[in-house]
Amino acid sequence: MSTMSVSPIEILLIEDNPGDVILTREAFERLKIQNVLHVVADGQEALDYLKRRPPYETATKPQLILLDLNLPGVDGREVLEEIKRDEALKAIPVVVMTSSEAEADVVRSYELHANCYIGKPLDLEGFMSVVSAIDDFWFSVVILPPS
Amino acid sequence: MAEGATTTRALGSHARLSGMSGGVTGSRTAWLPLLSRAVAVAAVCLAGALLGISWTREAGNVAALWPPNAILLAALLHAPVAGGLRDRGCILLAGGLAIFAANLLFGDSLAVSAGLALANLSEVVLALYLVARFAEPREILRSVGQSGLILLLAGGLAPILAASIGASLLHLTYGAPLWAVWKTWYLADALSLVIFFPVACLLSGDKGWSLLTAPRSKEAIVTVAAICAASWFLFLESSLLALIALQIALMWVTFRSGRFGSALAVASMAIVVTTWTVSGVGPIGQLEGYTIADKILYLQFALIVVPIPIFAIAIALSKERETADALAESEARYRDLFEKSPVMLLSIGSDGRLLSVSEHWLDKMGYRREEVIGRPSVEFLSAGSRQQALEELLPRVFSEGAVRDVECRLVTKDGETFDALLSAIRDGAPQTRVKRSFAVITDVSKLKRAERDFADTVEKLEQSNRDLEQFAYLASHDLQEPLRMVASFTDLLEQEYGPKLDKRGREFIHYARDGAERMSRLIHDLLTFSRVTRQDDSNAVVDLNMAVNVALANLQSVIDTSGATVICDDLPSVHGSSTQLTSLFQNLVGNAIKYRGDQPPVVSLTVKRLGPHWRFTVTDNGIGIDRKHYERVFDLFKRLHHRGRYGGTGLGLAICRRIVEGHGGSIWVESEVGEGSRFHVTLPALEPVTEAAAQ
Repeated sequence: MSTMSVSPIEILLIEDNPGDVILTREAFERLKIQNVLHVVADGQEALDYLKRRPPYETATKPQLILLDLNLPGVDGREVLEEIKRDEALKAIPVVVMTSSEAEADVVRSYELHANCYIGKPLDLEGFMSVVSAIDDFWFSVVILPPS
Repeated sequence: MAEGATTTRALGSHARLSGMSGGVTGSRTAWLPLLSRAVAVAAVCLAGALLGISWTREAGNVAALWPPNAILLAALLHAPVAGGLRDRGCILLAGGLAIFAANLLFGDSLAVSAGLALANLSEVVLALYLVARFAEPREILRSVGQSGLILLLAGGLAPILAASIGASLLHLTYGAPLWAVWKTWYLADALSLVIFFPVACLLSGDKGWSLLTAPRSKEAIVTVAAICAASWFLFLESSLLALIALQIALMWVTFRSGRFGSALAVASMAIVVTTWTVSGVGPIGQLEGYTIADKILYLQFALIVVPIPIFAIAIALSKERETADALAESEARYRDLFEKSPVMLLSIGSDGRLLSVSEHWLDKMGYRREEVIGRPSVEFLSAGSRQQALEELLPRVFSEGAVRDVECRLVTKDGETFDALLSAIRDGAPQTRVKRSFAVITDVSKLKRAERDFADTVEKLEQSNRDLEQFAYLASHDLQEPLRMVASFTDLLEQEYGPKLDKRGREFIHYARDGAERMSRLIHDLLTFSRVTRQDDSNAVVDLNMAVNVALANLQSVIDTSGATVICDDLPSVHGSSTQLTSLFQNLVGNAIKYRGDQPPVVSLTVKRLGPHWRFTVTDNGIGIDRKHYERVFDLFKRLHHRGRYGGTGLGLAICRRIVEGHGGSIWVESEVGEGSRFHVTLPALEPVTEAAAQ
């Protein structure tokens, strides 16, 4: 459960599957998470958002990024690499959330300095508990850098 | 030697008395060939004796030449050694009878004829003994030393005895002057041996009559015959010119035709000159104020000085000619070897042009010989190989002396190329700065094609493997994600709208949810199966006690629920992947518990050393497997039971087999329905030789 911070935390969800977006929002809703969830559907859009390129000139810098690895166009791995290479962005924690449990993906993600790697569970219950854990850890336990 | 009115001599033609070629047969000759040979010897000796006596008649009791002794000696020398005394005795007897008959024919008494024959036979036997004992008769006209020795022994020594006997006999019988008869007899016999023995010896030797048909001999025979015929006119017209012409002709034949030609020419000339001299023509026959005896003596001295240098020259020339012939033959043989070898050979000159190529080279390249000789050798290489040859290969051949099995490509006349290996050596020592080379080319196109095919197959397999891995990855994500959607939203549907549905509707949702779950497990197992490949880290040593402990820990809840007892031996370490080996034992023990019967499951894991392998056995008290399914249980998606009773994807044992085979072992099952199962697994032991037997 979120212990409310002074101001809500800005979260960027990079996810191409609308189902997952709905599930994530549902989870946030059920868990009464007050944080702001911004959603982009592919890698290029994510980079535009983060670098405030049109049409995201006014976007705020997120404090946490939820990243799906398999994205159309610019791939999740490339997005991760780009974030961690960018001086202005590399401090933002990136949580990789993906259906892939392939060892190669796990290893590669950590090599690219992902902050954690989470496999998406098959059922709703599992998904809820994962989102809950993320909320618990990243929004309560951890002290994030200021936005 | 024929003396007295009745003395008989004859000049034999030089028959190779049949079978006279010596020492070839290894055993006593049969009587029939021996008799026929004896008859032939008798005939030739008779002819020779009659000719000799005919000269004697016309010369007035003084013979100039006496051929039969030389003929008889040659025949005896070449009689088969194995035949021994019998053969030689027969031939000697035949010769003696011929001489005896010739003398009888010309009117001598029986006693005188027999005495003269015996005198001649004594000469032949003595010559035979001396030559066989002190010289090598086969070397006649082959080496100057041996020829001289033979002629000295046979011609110089042997007639001393015969002349003494014959002269004494004639002196006692006819009152002939002893010294004069002795001298003439001796000279005639000595001279005849020198003149006739070589040709008789050659004709009765190993080559025999075949000498007559050799090209050089034919020329010699024709030339000698022509000269003999021409001498008829020459002797009538001009004696001096005749002598000069005869000498030149003799030299000509000697130069042209070697030892047989010269021997034949010497013998023929002697007959011609003697015949004309006793007829009173020719340079000696026409001499005024000399008695016939003096003329004969003069003739004999003249005849003795001609053959000696002729034979010496013939021997020297023959030796050189034989060396040259042998060289030519050897060269021809090697050229033949080079040209006919079933290998691609080529010889390259200092200018890089082809000197010669083998027929096989021509066959492979599709050229005719005249099209390629003299062309630059690199012209037959492909462009790439040509550059390599000019820049690297040829310089290496000349600096290092050889190159071996260098790959190159050749271009045939039709423009087709093929792969070949080229080995070359420099022709000649490095100091000589010779820049010729000799090369062997081997067509390896078939090998190359096989190599390329192999590489293609490997490439295709690798591509196929990459595709499979790609597929496995796609399956892990792209199949899993839609499933997640189905499962999650079915859950959401149930939670949000479940209360609004009736029992049937909720049942439908349950089936959809269950299907998704099974699909997910299936995908998971299939992925596990596809990822079990031969491990790169299979050299890692895995303690199987640890692996099995992890497996049992993973199975803990199943063990607890089922109340199973698991007993495990102390296990060895093996090479392999710990993840896979854990998975292996987890599957086997898991199955042993899953397919349990009515009693609580009891599972044991035992191990036994079998030669270079460990054999692990997982024994249970479960439902067992029918014998006919022993193989099928290890196949993909093979399930023996309805899924309602025993869940699972049907991949567990397939994964086990893949793991075991990837580790170099094997897996099989023994079981009876209702009696439990024993799954056996073998894995290679770490140290096949030194490790002690298990247990």
